[in-house]
Amino acid sequence: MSSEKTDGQVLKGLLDTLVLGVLAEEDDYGFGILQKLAERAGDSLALKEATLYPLLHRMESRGFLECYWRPGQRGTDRKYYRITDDGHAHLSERLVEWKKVASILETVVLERRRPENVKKGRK
Amino acid sequence: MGLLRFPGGTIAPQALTGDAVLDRYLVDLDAKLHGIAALRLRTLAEIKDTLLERKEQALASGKSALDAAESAVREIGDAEEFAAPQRAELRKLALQRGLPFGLFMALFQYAAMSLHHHIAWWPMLPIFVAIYAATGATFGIATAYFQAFGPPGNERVLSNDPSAYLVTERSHAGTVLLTFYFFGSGLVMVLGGLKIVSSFARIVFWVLRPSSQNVPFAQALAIGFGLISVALGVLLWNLLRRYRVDPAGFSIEGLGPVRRIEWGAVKEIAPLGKRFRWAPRIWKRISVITFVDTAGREQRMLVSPSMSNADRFLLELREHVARS
Repeated sequence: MSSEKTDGQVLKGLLDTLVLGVLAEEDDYGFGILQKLAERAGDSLALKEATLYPLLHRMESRGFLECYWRPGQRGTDRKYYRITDDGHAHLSERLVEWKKVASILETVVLERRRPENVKKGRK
Repeated sequence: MGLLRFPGGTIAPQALTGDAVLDRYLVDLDAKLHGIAALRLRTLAEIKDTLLERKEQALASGKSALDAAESAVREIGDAEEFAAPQRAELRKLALQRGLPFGLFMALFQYAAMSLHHHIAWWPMLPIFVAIYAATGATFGIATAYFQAFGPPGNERVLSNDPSAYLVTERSHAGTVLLTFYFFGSGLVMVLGGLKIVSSFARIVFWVLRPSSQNVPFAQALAIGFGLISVALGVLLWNLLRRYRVDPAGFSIEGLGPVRRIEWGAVKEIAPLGKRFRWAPRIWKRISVITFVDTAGREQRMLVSPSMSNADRFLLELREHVARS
C-alpha cells in the first residue's frame, strides 16, 4: 500500500471529527467548512465537495447536525449546518479516542524512534 | 431514469445559473439524482451555490469566465459522487417507509374486511390483502419523496396580509388526503367493530345496518386498527397548520380559531428527540415550541420540518428565544 493511500485512509477516518470541530465554533455552509479546513490543514487534506457533502448529510441523518437555509448573497438561498447536542457529545468522544490513539502511537513507536533512544539501543 | 425517479421530471429552472458550463454540470447531476423535482432541487441548490462561489473566486484570481467556470466544475468533483449517496439514501428511506406502510395497510384492510367476511378462509382475501399491501408500500415510498416538500426560497406573502413577511404551511394535497383517509376509515372500522354501523364495504353505499359480525377476534381486530388509524389521523390533523409570521410574532391558522403568539411568549424551542429518546429519527426532526398563552399557562406545539419555509420560521423562533 502506498504512503499516499495510507494517509488518505487515516484522514478519512478523521473527517467527521474535523467537520464537527469546525462547526462547534460556529454554524457554516458547505463551502465555508471546506475553506476553513483547507486553511488550517493545508495541502495535507485535499478535500472535495463530493466527499464533504455526503458526509454532512450522513451526520445530519445521524442527528449530529441540523441544517437551515438563509438568504445568500446572490439572491439564492444558502444551506447552513449547525452542530447539535448529540454532535457535541460525539465530537467529545472522538477527541478522547484520537488522543488515546496519539498517546499509544507515541509510546509504542515514536518514542523509540527518537535519536537518543535509538542510540541507547532500545528495542 | 431509476425506479425512484419521478417519471418525466426535468431540472427545475431555479436550479440553473445562466452559465453554460455550470448548467451543463447541474443538468448532468440532476439526471443522476432520484426523487421528485422538489427533492432534487434541495441537492442542486447547495451545489449551485458552491459552483457560483468557486467561479467567483477563480474570476477574482484573474481567470476568464470560461476558465473560471471549468475550474469550478473540475474542483467540485464528479457529479456521480454527489448523486450516488443521494440515491442510496432515498432507497433506504423508501424501504424504511414502504415496508411498514405496506404491512400496516395489508393488516388494516384485512381487519376491515373481516367485519363482513369472517376470519375463516375467504378465497379472494389474499388477493385483496396483496393489493392493499402494494398500495400501502406505494404510500410509504411517496412519503420518502415528499419529506423534502417545499424547495428553499418559496416565500409566499399573502396579498391580503402585507404585514406577514413569511408564511409556513403544509400545502401538500397528499397530506390532506392521507389525514382524511386514516381518520375517516379508522372511525368507520371502530364503529363497525362495535357493531354500531354496518361493515366497511356497506358504509360506502350509505346503507346503515347493524353489523352481523359475531366473531369477537374480528371485532377486536377492527376496533384495534381503527383506533390506530384515528390516532394517525389526529396526529396528521395537528400538522395541517399555517404559521403567518410578522415582526411582532406569529399567528397559527388551523381548523380551529386563529391563535396569536407574540415573540416574547415563546420560551423554548427544542427537538422532539430531546424529550422522547425512543422516537424514530424522522420524528426527532420535529420541533417542540414551548410558549405561554394569554391565560398565563405554559403550552407546547409541534412544528414539522417538512413544511414550506419551516427552516426560516424555526430560525426566527430561535433568534427571538436567544434574544429574550
